[in-house]
Amino acid sequence: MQDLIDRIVEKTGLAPDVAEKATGIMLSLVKTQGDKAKVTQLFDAIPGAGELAQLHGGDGARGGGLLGMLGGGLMGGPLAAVSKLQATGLNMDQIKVLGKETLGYAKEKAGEDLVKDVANSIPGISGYL
Amino acid sequence: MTNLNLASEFPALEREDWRALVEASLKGRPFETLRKATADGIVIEPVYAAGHEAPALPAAPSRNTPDAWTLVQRADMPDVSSANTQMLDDLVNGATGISLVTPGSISAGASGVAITDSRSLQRFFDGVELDLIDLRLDGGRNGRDLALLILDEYKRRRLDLSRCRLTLGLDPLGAFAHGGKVTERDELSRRFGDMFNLAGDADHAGPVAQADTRVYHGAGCSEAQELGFALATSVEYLRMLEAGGIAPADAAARISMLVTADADQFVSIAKIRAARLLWARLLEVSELAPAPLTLHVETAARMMSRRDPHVNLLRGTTASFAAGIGGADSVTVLPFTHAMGLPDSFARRMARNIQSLLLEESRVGRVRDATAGSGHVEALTHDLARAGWGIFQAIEAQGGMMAALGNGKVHSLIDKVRVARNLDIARRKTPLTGVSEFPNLHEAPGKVLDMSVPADWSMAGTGLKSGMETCEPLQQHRLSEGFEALRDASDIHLKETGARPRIFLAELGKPADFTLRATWMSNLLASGGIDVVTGSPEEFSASKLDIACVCSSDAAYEDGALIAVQTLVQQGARRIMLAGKPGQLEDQLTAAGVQQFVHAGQNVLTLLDDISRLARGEAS
Repeated sequence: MQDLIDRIVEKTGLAPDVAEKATGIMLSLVKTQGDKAKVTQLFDAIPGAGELAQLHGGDGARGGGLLGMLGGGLMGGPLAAVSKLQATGLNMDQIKVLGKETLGYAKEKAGEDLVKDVANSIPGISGYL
Repeated sequence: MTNLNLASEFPALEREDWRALVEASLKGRPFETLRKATADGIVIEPVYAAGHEAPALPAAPSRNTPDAWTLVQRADMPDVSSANTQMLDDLVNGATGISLVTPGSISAGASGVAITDSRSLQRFFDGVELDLIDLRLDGGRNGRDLALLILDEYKRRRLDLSRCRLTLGLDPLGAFAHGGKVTERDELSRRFGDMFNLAGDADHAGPVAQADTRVYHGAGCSEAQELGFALATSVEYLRMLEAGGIAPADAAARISMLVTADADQFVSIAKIRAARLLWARLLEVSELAPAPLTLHVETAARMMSRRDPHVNLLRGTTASFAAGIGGADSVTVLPFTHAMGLPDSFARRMARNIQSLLLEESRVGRVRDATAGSGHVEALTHDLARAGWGIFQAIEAQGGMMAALGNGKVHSLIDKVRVARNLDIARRKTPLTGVSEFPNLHEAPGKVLDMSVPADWSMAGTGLKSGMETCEPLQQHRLSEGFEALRDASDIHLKETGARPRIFLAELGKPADFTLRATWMSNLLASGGIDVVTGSPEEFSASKLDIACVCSSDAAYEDGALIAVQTLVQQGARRIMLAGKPGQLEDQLTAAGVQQFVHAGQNVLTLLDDISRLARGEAS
């Protein structure tokens, strides 16, 4: 996981803690929106991904009422993730780099087919890829 | 071909000739009694000079679409698939736009489509061609999260957003006024700016922010206040967006307005025209290029009654006619059972048909600015615009709309108007048909749906947290609430005891003597949920009631009121009233036992409350 964060720091010029948080938000989107079985498979292939998503994206409880809210998660969709990344201090160019690097890293670790399957299971993401 | 001049055959008449006729028919009453005033104190004259004779005024800009306005139906059923079914029914039967109301909206009440995430949103839009309809978001406090989900959905469908008609309707200040909480200013500006950029990056070109006045109207504001608040809100959004990095010229093009129309037709027409005038003026003084305002109108929730709900069909018709004639780009009619709960399919069809009739049968939308040139409407438009600008300046003097909400200035302005209006309603100077006038005590209860938002509902979003500004939430009221509370108490009494609260109308003399006042009195009592038993004063004890009201003509009172009152006292009446003003008989009748003289112009709400409590055995 750390090598992904390092790559992002290098490509975007973000501070390491911000890059870590941003990666966490990205992964949290995948975790909350993607097909559960496929996401589990993907996260198993990328050590640390699940923890990072949990840490920075909340628990991702959907429609979980107050508890979901307290978790700070409730990721709505791709744009909600972008919006949250903006609030973290990233500009659109940095967000694009983040997306590209995360995707590339995931493909290296888990194979192109699985990453494509996960991406296709996230509602709305295809419009942005 | 010679020009026919038909008017030449009639004698020329001057204003003075007309005035002389009026003076004669007034029989000594001053001419001023024909004048009326709006809630803002704007005087409505009995007659105006023709618009072209009035001093030259700038023309009010008109609707952006020439032929018709967009017929918008509300989607607000909590159950997503029911809302989908209803929406499809609306869209294939005349609606050209949908207003998506989610539970956080200021207009949702206890309902709103319970969309939680992108999956439920997809279910909601199943079968809807999003690029063919006008979609308006009404997400209230969830506005931003809803907008993000919707933009995602358009993207998922690979629609060209620049060609879709989508109004994001973000109105954080409206949500602030309604809920009493809002993200603190700097953070709000930043998020607002980000949201603008996100929408822009997604090729969305429609309105993003919306100055929505429904929450102020529901709290009781006047027309000029509504305009002033709309303007002040727009300016606040321009400022926030500028702070968030959006140039004012770009921001101005993407702010829309939502104002209300109510059953006061001419005032509503003038208000909507004035909104466009004020917007044009705002751009002018801000040195921004002239650009049309996107103006949506919803019929006012405040005017809707729970009792005699079919009158709401007339209210909705008048209001939507005014909205269309006044130049709204899109109009939503609240279904006639809106105040009673969640409207069923029938009520929604009626709401739709009201507009279909105006658009398709009467072709009201085909005439551009039909009231232009009417002396009355032109004068009222400009009076309202001036008064609205005054309110706008008063809000700006407080430091803008957000500050004026925070320090209670908005609240105090509204309170003053509401208190005065409520008094007029209680005195029936402002009559409410079916409620304070012509009530039907025995009407069948209306039908609404039983469907509620799940208690643990929440909408998936960014989950961002921040510091909050607070204000006193603006309570929403309807005009008929005071009377309806009495009717509700009557219903409960009926359920518990098998009878409505009742009093005895002691009719004096012949029907020709008492019919007028007895009818007047029983109508008045019915507006408070009180039923009557009628008979001669001698029949009082047989009625087994406690309260009596003597009804007859002034002449009959001269002859027999005193004896009637004495009879009622002998038969054990605990409370005796007399319909009408007693004149010289007052002292005599009071001494004999009359405790209350009931006549027009009194605060009937307190009177009815008093009688109702007494008749229900709650007080002595």
